[in-house]
Amino acid sequence: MKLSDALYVFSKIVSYITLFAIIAYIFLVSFVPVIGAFALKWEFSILPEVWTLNNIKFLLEDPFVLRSLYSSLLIASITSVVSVTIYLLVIMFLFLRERSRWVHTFVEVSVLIPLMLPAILIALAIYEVYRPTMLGGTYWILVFAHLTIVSPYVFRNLYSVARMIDMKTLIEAARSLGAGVLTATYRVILPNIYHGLIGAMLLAFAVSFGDFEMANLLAPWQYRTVTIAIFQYFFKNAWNASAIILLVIIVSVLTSFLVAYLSRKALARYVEVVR
Amino acid sequence: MVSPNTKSFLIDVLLVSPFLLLLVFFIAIPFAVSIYYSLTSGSSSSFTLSNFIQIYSSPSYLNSIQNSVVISLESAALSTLFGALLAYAFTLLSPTVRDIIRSVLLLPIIYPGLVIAFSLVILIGTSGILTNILAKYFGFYLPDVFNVRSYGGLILAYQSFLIGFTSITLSGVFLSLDKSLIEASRSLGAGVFQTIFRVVLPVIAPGLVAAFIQAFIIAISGYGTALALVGGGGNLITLRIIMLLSDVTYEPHLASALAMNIAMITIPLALIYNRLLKKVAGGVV
Amino acid sequence: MKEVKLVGVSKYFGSTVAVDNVSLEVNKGEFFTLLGPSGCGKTTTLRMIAGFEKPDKGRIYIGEVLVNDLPPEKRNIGFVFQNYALFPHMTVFENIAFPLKLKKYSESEIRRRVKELLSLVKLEGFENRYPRQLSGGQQQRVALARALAREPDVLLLDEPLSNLDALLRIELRRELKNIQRKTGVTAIYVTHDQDEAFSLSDRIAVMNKGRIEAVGSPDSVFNSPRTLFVARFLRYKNIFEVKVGKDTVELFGRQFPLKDFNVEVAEGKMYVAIRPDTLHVYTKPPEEIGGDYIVLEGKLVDKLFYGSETEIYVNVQGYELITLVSTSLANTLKVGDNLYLLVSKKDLKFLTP
Repeated sequence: MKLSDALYVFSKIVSYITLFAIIAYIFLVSFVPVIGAFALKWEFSILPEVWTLNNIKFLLEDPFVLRSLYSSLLIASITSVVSVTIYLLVIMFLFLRERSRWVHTFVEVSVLIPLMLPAILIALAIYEVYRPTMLGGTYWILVFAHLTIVSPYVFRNLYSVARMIDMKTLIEAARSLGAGVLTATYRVILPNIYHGLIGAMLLAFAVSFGDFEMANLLAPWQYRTVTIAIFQYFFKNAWNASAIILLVIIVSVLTSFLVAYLSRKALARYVEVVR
Repeated sequence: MVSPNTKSFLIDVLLVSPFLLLLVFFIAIPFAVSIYYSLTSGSSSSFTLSNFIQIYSSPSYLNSIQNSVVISLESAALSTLFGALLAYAFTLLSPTVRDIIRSVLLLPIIYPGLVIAFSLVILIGTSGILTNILAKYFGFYLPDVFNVRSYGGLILAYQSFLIGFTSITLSGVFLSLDKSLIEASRSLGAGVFQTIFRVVLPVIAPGLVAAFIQAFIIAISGYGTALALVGGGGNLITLRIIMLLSDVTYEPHLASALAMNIAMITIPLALIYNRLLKKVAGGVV
Repeated sequence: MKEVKLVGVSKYFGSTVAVDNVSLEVNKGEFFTLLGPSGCGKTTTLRMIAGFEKPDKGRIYIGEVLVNDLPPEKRNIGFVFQNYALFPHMTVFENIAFPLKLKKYSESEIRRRVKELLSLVKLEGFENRYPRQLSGGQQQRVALARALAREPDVLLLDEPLSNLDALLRIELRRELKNIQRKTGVTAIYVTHDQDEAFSLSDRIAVMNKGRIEAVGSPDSVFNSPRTLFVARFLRYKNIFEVKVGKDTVELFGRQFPLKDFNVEVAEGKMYVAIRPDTLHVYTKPPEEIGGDYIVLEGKLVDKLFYGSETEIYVNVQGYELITLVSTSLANTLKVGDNLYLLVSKKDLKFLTP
């Protein structure tokens, strides 16, 4: 065997092993809490020695946990709806008419700013600026903070869909056929970016739901979120905390698979599926 | 009667103003305020460098910066290496399998980092399940060799989601890497190593750098994972900021100055990243 | 159908001029083509007529109506896009019915009209397909039917055939012309392909750098180029710089009286273009030439075989002229042979730079 062939086989093997190891690692860290959520005693074996539903019961009965669940759902829902609305409007702006390259670049870069700055810095500054205002003490302060961190995800998603469907030309086509801007949006644009819209909304929901770093600093005490509950309970009872983690994981898993499914479905509209 | 020009201008304003308001009120103003905070002290409103002087003259703060940078560099390097290997593996897989694996890799990106940290503690902490099993059946006590509640453990935890970012960014690069390029190089008489270093690497280099920067920024700016894993025992910039913001010691000015140190590293990197991203198709964000 | 008129229309993108003081009139029922290389402003002109762009200067009329301030949806136009721009979530039927529904046609009226349009573009039976299930050519037919659905005053076509392969392009070209003739719609067509422009149009405007350099029937545009750009764009091959004096012009080292040439020319630097097919090749000095002809003596430099014809390169006084001869004649010629090229004075096209 030549050296090059040997190297090729070797690199293939190494990459497959890495792939397998990483997937195994991700499964391991993801599903330990899932199993743990049903454990009463789990110390020396692959699966728990004593199973229980008490952790789930705890999840459904503990007022603090329930309250945190409510807060997280509320905040994540508002964040996802508001952010998708804001960025849908921006996308409409970008593709309604010919815009200069600079306008596109400005929006693209400013949307990325939250990725450049540590969440804690934004959170701290928002806390300092808005605590004395009417936002202070309400969950809205956290909603606005989350709006910044979900921006890159929501925008990128919608932007790529808008480019894929050639939104500008679709609007022009609709208008040349007699549709006003509103009709064009409602009858042509929305049906075509619907999947992208839902995908972006789910991502925003998951990012907001899973955020701990901003919530830890900004959430008012009556709106402590699920992640804060996890943090507080973990050191008391790991299996109780696992039940809460299970909840977060369910949200994440559902989101990630739905997003993948939706983006494939959106693509299918443009390419006849080869069977 | 509103003129058509005014009308289309009004529509434009209506469409962008929510975004601009968000940008101004929750990014620009807060960022300006944190710059202002970092340059003032709580007692007077005149500008001073005292916060920065305090940071740079304190071995402990300097050490936290050093730790953060080193850990983030190591995490980014590891995740870029693994991400590249994964992206290479993707090219060997069918699109369907690739899609499934990609959604699995997306999972930890959405998880809160502290979930990963807790999972690791449950698994390989001092009384973790795997630790116990290893000790019981093999007489090997893992924490003697590897303590998960350490910087090493943090790097391990970071890998779970950094690899998701790097591999997805890099898979775009690897998939677009033209096989004929390699064949052309080989046909011109280049050896395996020459082909890798002269042809393949220059093509994927922007992607590698972009993935590395992305991983580095995420690693250096987060604190959830670190707080859950090493807690107060770790000396990282973000953890120091959190300590400065606790109810006992609330020092937003010093905290802002510390955060500025991260921003001074991440902003230029992010700008480079954005440049590179134009050459690299895809990526999570 | 209505006529379209542009008066002194200009459009700037930042500091660059996309369309520079363009005036033109398109008659009712005419097939009018804007021809030019990419970036010449032809598409921008078309998009201004559609209302997708606003002119910075000038006026645009559709029929009697000044449409400068009308949004596209109020102009009653049909627009056919290069990439078809069919609505992916709608079937062929729904796509064509879209403008009719907006006009609040009755259900049965819509069905009748769509059927009619589908037969016009020869796509009967495709009602329930989605755009992604159609070939490029079929998609463009649907786009055409959709654009014609509400009987537009003017049909605007932006390089509609350029995404199709060569054979299909020629086939669709003929059909497009037939459909335009049948419906009698005023059509403004944008293309960079001169074959397309010449075969389809009643009149053509050649554009360059935002200006119109030539307007007229295909025949007059092709046979009487006035500017260097137009000649080059129409692939005239023998183009040389000439010096024009007060009464004479120097050509291939010889002086000719200016009045011999039936063109109004300015003094100074000009160009002359000679189409290869207007050069007649003789191996001996031709006898009996009238005053309307010029004979150029030169040496054969090179031959390029193209099947039944062969391209030959002749050096005349340091100028290299290209012409076509039958291959049987070319076979008798050797490089270095003396050749005589006969050209009619009216086939010398004088061009301004």
